[in-house]
Amino acid sequence: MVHGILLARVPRHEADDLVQDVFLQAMTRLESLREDDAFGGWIAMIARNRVIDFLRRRRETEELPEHLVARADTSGAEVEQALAAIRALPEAYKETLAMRLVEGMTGAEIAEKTGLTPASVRVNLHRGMKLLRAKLTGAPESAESAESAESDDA
Amino acid sequence: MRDEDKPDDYLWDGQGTPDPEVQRLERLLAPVKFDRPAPPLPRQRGRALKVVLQAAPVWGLAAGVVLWLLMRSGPQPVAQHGDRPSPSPLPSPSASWLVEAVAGAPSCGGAGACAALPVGQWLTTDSGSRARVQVADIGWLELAPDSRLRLKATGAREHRLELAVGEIHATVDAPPRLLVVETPSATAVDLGCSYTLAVAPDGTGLLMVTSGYVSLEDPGRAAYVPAGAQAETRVGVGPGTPHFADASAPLRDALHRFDFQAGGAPALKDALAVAGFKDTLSLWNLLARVDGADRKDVIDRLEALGPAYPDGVTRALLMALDPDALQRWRDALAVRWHAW
Repeated sequence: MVHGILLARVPRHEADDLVQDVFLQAMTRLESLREDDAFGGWIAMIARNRVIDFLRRRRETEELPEHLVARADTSGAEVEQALAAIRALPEAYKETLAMRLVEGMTGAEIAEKTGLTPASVRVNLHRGMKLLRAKLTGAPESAESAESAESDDA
Repeated sequence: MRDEDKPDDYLWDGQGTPDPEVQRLERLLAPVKFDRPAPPLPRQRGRALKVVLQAAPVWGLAAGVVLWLLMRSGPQPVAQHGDRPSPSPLPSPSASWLVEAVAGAPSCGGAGACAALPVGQWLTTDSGSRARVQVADIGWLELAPDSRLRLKATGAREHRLELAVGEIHATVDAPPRLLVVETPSATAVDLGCSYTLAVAPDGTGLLMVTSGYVSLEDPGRAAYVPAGAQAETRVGVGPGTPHFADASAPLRDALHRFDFQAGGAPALKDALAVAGFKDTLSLWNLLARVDGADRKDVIDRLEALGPAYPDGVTRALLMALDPDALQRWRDALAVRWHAW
């Protein structure tokens, strides 16, 4: 779950590093957790705030020239494209989809660990996947999402 | 049948008729899944209770990794200053928070530069100074120029600050209600978040939430403020009705008249007339601020804008301000707050 939350906000290699930070922060602050049942939501919050702190403190770096960027094969680029598309989704959808598609969690597991209701998770997955399809195929998403939301609410 | 109510089993749990696009993404992204072992557990002292958690489903680790987490089983002493009685017989007068001068020379107690803010002391910045304060072990805050902040209490059960004037930006990793910031016009109760809180010299305040949620509280009035939303506060009135930062000008104007200019029923009517899907945040917060026929009108508008009532929520329960029903309804509405 934590990795999914981080991956929904930062590139893969940074998410992998930040996971360790989140674990260590959680362990050193465990005294402040008063209810076992709140653990999932609590560590999710630590992960989100860790990203905020990381992005605020990160120094600007120059981008490497294209020919120096390692692109071993087209599947690597395809992975990055999919992850970037997930990160570009609205807040409520990107975490849920990262947990489902990357970490392999089921909807019920996502609901249990995040504290969201199953109904909320189902909506996030459904609408998020609709927007993700549009992004990956290059279809115009704003009109589609607005129209589908209108029809959903009718 | 609404779109999201249609069967979507494969996306939900991998069962049922496979969705080719979902399957493609699962295969493509499978190598990205986190499968490293957990970091080594630091030694803990004086713990009375062991909790064993199966780590894999929570932290995305490889199956079979088990972490032992040790939890403290009793209350910790709280250091306090001021007229509030201490909840613990063991105050810690030496407790202090680390302070870093980000710009200029912030001062503690008017005595010049400081590296730590003790309980009871004021941290002050002038027009050229800015400070970063370590909030115990749960996060940090930045104190903007021309600000005064006092540490009133710090302990395992609560950290309490007083912001007399100026602005702070807080980022906190903690369970709800561990960090509390008093201002002249309302008290901000952290529910796990990042936010900016500003107080003008006349006590007027503005809260803007970046991540998570904050509860703004004053006797007889409270405001629930999620990420992307903001709320004003006034001395003698308390917190106004929260709205998203990108709410329409007509809505913001109607809410301002209702909250701070005794706008009454006409202002409420104007707010209901211009409210859209995302403005259900404001309408939900209005439920406890109106009664009788006005509350009925607010519920009517929420029903028109929001999703179907979830289990445990009925119109009668909302009219009665049943706490459980209000929370369930808020959670159902919140799906739309973050989707737009």
